[in-house]
Amino acid sequence: MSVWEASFTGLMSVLAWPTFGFLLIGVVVGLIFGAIPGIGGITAFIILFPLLLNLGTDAALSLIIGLFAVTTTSDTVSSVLLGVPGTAGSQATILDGHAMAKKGESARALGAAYTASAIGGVFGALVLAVGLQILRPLVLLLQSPEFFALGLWGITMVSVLSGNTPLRGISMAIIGMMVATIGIEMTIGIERYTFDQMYLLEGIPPGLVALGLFGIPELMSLAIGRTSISRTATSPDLFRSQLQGVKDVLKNWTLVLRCSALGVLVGFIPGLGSSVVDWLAYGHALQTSPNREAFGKGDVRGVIAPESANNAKDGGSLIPTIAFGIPGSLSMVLLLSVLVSLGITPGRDMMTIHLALTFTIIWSLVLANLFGTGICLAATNLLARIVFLPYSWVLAAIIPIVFLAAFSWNSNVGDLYTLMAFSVLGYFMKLWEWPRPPFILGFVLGPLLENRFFITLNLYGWSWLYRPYFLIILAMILATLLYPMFEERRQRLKTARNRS
Amino acid sequence: MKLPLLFPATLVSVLLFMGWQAQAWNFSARLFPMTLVGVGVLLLSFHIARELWRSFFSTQPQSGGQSMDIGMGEGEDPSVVRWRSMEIWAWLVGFFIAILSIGMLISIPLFSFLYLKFHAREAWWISILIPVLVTSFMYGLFELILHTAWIEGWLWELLWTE
Repeated sequence: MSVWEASFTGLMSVLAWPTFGFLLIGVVVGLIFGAIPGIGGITAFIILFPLLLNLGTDAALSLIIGLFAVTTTSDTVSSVLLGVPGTAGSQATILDGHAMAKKGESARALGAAYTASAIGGVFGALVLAVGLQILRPLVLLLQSPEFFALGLWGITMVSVLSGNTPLRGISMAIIGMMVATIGIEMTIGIERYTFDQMYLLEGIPPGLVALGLFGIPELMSLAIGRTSISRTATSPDLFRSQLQGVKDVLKNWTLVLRCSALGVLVGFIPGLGSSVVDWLAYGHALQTSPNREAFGKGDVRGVIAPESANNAKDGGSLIPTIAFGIPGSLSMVLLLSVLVSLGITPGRDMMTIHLALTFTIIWSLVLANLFGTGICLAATNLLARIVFLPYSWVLAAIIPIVFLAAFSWNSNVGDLYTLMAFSVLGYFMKLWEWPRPPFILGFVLGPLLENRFFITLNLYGWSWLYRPYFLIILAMILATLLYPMFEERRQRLKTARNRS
Repeated sequence: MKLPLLFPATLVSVLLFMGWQAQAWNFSARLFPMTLVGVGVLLLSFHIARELWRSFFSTQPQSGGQSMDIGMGEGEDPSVVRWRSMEIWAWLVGFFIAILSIGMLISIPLFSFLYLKFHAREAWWISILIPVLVTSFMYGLFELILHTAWIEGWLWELLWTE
């Protein structure tokens, strides 16, 4: 079967009834679970898993792809409107999205976020379609030294996310990495900082850390301000505002494409995932934008960048899952379990005898992103009004949801203690202007860096320092660090020339 | 010591404690934490020293710098921020203790109702409607769909055991 024939067969399979209906069910369930803080697609998957096994192959795959594809679209709702991260992939959206909501531009932020998500999602699916054959050798070339270098590249974003307080930013990243060492050490199995508490053995979940660091302090900020989330009293024309958001995305199309490509790359690399991709994209937008002063104060580019990247990531993470059976994240592990349960072995077969099925997955991803965005855009007018509600109504409803969402993580009282501990930390960081984004980035990347470093050292000694691919990534890191300085100098010279 | 300097000072203490704890582990387990402790303590101590020097010797106005984050209580009087912070902390801690002592199913509507009626002085109908809606939604989602085991509260456990 040729690629075109397989693509057409795949599209027809998705559009056939009842597969199409299950895709829509997946999209709707994914949107609902993505919008509720702290829950996300994994929980929805666990609920639907028994149903999946009783469906046909196409229907089951459409349902699960529909579910996972859109959780990072609707998670924007709580991030923008409430300042509470919907899922791990929407943490960075809070910085500018919530600031826009405070300025009465919630509909614009949501419009931009959904459009960027749709473009990112479709971009990811296209790369998946084209890249399955091309990128196969690349995955085999990357070994632990390169993964370690990619982790280092991620951590360099701390310097960007620290604003003009690098000392505070790097310190917070270090504290984040230290907190991530809590639990059983992976190489020899020693307990670190567990203080004989069973709860701490598996470490602290990143989602819970984000909920404490961002969720509660933002709600407290609302309680302190005693106004509605939006500081503008009157409701603007929400439809026009939303349309402005869509236009913003089209105006910043290069940023959308760059961040989508970044999203695919991060998704493609096993182990990085949602918690990292949004910060990397945000850092990239900050680094490459000419006027950075507006970031963190409600700049739409700070919404567009993470949202396009976190949806594009799904396409990237499907490449190693489908092509080699290497799942890069928990959601991909679950997808793999569905494939295996349905009697399909990922790998070479997916590009030969099951090629049509691979295209069913790709088309499901494209259509789910488009439908998800359509539904979200239609609901924006209603959702954006939340920011004009009295603060007391919002707090009385959301504080209990945040506590219960935190508790549902492990269904352990320890989750609530953890939430309170990180809320206290987040409150003081926010109060005394210690940046929270580097903490999260350090927390997520710390374990990855440590594990990859030891694996690399055990396998290669110190010879890994001369590996060509490692050196290429190292050059990329240097370019990332030096580019803003070069750009700043170029701008300064340009301004000086214009003056003279 | 100025109040904001308490934060980095606390972080230094925590890092030193963590470094001391790590002494007992073998080399590979302690290498990463010890490296972080070393760098972290150095950076934070430098920050504290610089801020102290600025507050005693520099005549220029101090600036916290512009961090890439959303600030707390921007545009509000600091004393108001302090008072309202304490107030919302009291509500949060109260809610937390209520969950542990009387359980989630009672604490959630109780917190919502008390916050709306006695803090925000909302009308009776809204003070009852929002807790009912929130509790129904959460019961439906977490209990009926997700089958989350709710915290029942040590007070009831104590009474039933008795």
